Amino acid sequence: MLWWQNIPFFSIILFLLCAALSSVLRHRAARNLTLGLLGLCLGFSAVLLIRVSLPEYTTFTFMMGHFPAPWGNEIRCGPLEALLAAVFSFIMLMALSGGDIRLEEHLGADRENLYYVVCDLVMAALLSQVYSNDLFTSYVFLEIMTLAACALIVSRTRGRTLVSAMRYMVLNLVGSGLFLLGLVLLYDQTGHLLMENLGDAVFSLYLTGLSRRPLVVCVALMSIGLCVKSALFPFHTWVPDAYAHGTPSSNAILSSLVSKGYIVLLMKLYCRVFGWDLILTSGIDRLLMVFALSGMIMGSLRAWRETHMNPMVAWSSVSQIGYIYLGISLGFGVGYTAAIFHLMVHAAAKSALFLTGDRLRVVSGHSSHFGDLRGAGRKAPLAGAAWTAAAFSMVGLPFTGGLISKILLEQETLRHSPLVAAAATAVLALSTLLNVMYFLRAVIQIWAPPREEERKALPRPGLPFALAALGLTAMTLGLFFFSAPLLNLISAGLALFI
Amino acid sequence: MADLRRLFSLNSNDSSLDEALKRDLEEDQHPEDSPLSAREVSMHASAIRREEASMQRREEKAWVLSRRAYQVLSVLTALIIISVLLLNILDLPLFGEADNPTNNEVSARYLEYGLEEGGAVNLVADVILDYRAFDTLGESNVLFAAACTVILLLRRFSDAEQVHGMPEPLLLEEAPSDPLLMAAARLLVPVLLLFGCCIILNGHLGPGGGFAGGAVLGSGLILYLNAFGDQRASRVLTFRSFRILSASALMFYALSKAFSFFCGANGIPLDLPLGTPGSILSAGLILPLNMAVGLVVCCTVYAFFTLFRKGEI
Amino acid sequence: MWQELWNDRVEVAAIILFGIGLTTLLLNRNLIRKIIGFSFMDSAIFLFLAAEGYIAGGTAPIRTFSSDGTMVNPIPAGLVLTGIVVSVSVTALMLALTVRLYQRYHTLDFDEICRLEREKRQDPPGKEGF
Repeated sequence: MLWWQNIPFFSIILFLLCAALSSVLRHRAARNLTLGLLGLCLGFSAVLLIRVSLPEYTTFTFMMGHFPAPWGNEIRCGPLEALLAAVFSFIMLMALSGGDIRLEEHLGADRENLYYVVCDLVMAALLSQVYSNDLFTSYVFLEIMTLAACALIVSRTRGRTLVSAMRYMVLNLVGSGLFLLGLVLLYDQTGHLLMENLGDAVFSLYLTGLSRRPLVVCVALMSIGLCVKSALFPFHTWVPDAYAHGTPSSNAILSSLVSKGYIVLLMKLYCRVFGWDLILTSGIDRLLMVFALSGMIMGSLRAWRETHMNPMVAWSSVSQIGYIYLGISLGFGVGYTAAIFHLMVHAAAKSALFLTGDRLRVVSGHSSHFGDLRGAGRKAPLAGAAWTAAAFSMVGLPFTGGLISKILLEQETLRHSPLVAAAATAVLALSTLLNVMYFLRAVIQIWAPPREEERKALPRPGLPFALAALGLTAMTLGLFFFSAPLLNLISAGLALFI
Repeated sequence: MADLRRLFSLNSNDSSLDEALKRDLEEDQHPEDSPLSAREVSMHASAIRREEASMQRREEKAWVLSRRAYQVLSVLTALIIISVLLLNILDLPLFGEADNPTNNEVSARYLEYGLEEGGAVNLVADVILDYRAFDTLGESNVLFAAACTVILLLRRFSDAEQVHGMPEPLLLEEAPSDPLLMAAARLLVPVLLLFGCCIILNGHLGPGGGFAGGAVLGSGLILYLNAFGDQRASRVLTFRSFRILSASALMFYALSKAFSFFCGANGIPLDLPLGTPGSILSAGLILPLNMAVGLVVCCTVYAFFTLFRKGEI
Repeated sequence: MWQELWNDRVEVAAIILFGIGLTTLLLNRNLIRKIIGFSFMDSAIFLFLAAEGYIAGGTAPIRTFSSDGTMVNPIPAGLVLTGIVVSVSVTALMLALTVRLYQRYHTLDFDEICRLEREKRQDPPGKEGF
């Protein structure tokens, strides 16, 4: 085993250790430890990515213990997993460093370190979803992510966040219950928990033709469970309140990262466990497509009606999750590549929107109503520019990553049946139009000349905020300019993902 | 009894709702916003009440209708799900058959070689703390995450700090000490604590283990708290000791298992002394891990009780 | 069909319990009852999982209990153990949220809480629309 093949394992374990340690440290120490570990993880994931991609794409497994799988646990890493780990650590680093460091007013003086404990647990759970090769391990870390994300929602404890946290927990627990039931049924039929063995057993069961219905039931239960947890329409009702009213870091982490872990697990299930033949037989791809297309329209319509910035951005998340699921339903290959690319685009843009949006709100007299945000961009140019770039990416304008994923999705829909192509194209066009309407409306409002020329002393942004805003904008632009090598990497990684 | 009934009923007295409405209007603004004047607050509160009264009849009818539709739809959905799953059972392997897919080479190895490879007589302890120890590490962290979130939600603020707007968490009055309870607790608490330790230490020899033993230990501590009061109980376990104990137990688990995983994956032989099967000091790392898990569960169970009861550990 | 369902009666009972839990969750407005519904659902899944590992005539997978006879599958027991801990954690968290919500809104009716929240959220008249 080469030294860099230990990186996935160490990433997960170090975050778990850091979570336990942060619970006894003070606020500053916990924050520095978490940020340091995130930087370390980012660096090592980049090294790992280089090692598994050059000179050729390889994948390896790491045996957790002295017993080979299926008797022991196992994690697996290839180019795609390394890329996702690097992206997630980068986004989390930017979100935490760019957010409000003063948590006392939200949490209370001796509880601030718990915020970083929870962030470490979210990161450990995310990495585990990316790397894990065992279904039950994925379920356990799924639950960690659910509980830790609930803590992020109530980090700013108001009535609204409590209600949204309750709604979030109810829906997420229904999703977990359905997922666990599907897992139990799958174990009953195959006797395996390791994904590769599961895939072989499911494939041989599928070929016999006898036992299709239980397999289809498993596919349905696990897919619906994960769709509920990742807030696909019509299971999105908890999203706007949960995403919009926490601290800026919480909003960024929740919208960019938490739902993505579930989507990565779903893709892994479809690739490694179920196989595309079973997915097509069950018809779940058509159901996902219907939900995705409806979500794209519904999310955008509701976002258009919002008059405050954060709820508008939260509703647009519902729409963007629809794009990712459209990619998944279009099939293994270009569809999945587009889904993963849009996952990264959305993660970067949403974090930027929430972090810089908070700064715009601060310079507008602490109001996030669009009427009061007029001219905010001129008072805080860095935040305004970053918000604008992220908004353009969500719309899909040139020079931002969002354009690439929309082009890919459109190209792939044209290869399907005429009905699918027509419906998807119409919905993509309508959704883009709606995105333009509400995002550009907001951008114009931000850059319009402010109403009164007041020379109030505005709080200056700190260096971490400036670096976070620049970093996220760089990622948004970089996803466009480096799209070709990235797409190659993703496709090659997907081929090895199975 | 009245408290229980109140728990299961829906609304409390309505007069508090108006105050709650007024308070919420003020609270929901950001700290630096200029506070609404009392006149604006009362104007707005009365405006809401007028609007409510005028729309109430229309809303109620629509609401009752949608409520009915939702109930019918929920029952139908549940019935459909149950029937699909029941029909599904017919296609699943039969109950209790020895040649079911679940009884494959994976479980066969656990049953045959579990004792030699893991060292524990209790093969389930082998499975969860040796073969699939990573899952159990994750599970301990689930408990830890829940404890952190409950502390975030329920822990009382000290007098020096005041978070904007949110009322203090509930403080249930401490019941006066009951001589009958104290007498019973003097007998029971040592037995419970001993029993809990026994379950933990014998986790690898028989049914039991860290989770079950930790729960019994925690309930022993809860009985002590109820019988002897907050003062004496806080000498046993304080917030600081809770944090240190949980954190160190979790870190011990993570570090020891990380070392084991690292050695296993990199081919470094790790010959843990497995001892003679059947004696307490056997099974390699399983006994220390059971103790760590038991400590975490005991602290967490006790913490849940005290946080719900008085907002403090 | 009925004979087979009777043979699999443990699993049938688990599914029916799951349905009862789901209905309790969906139909009740009281938060405590919703949480009880969740408990039912989780317990049902664990019952199903434990039933999967059973072998007729087998004993518990502890070596001293049966040195030569058949032992049941130890894997579902381990999975159920993990599941129970997860269920306990989740229940504790939901109850903590319920306590805070009750203290804030003085009601346990979730629909009522959402209604109060929605009313509070309407913009005061006079704020500029967009």
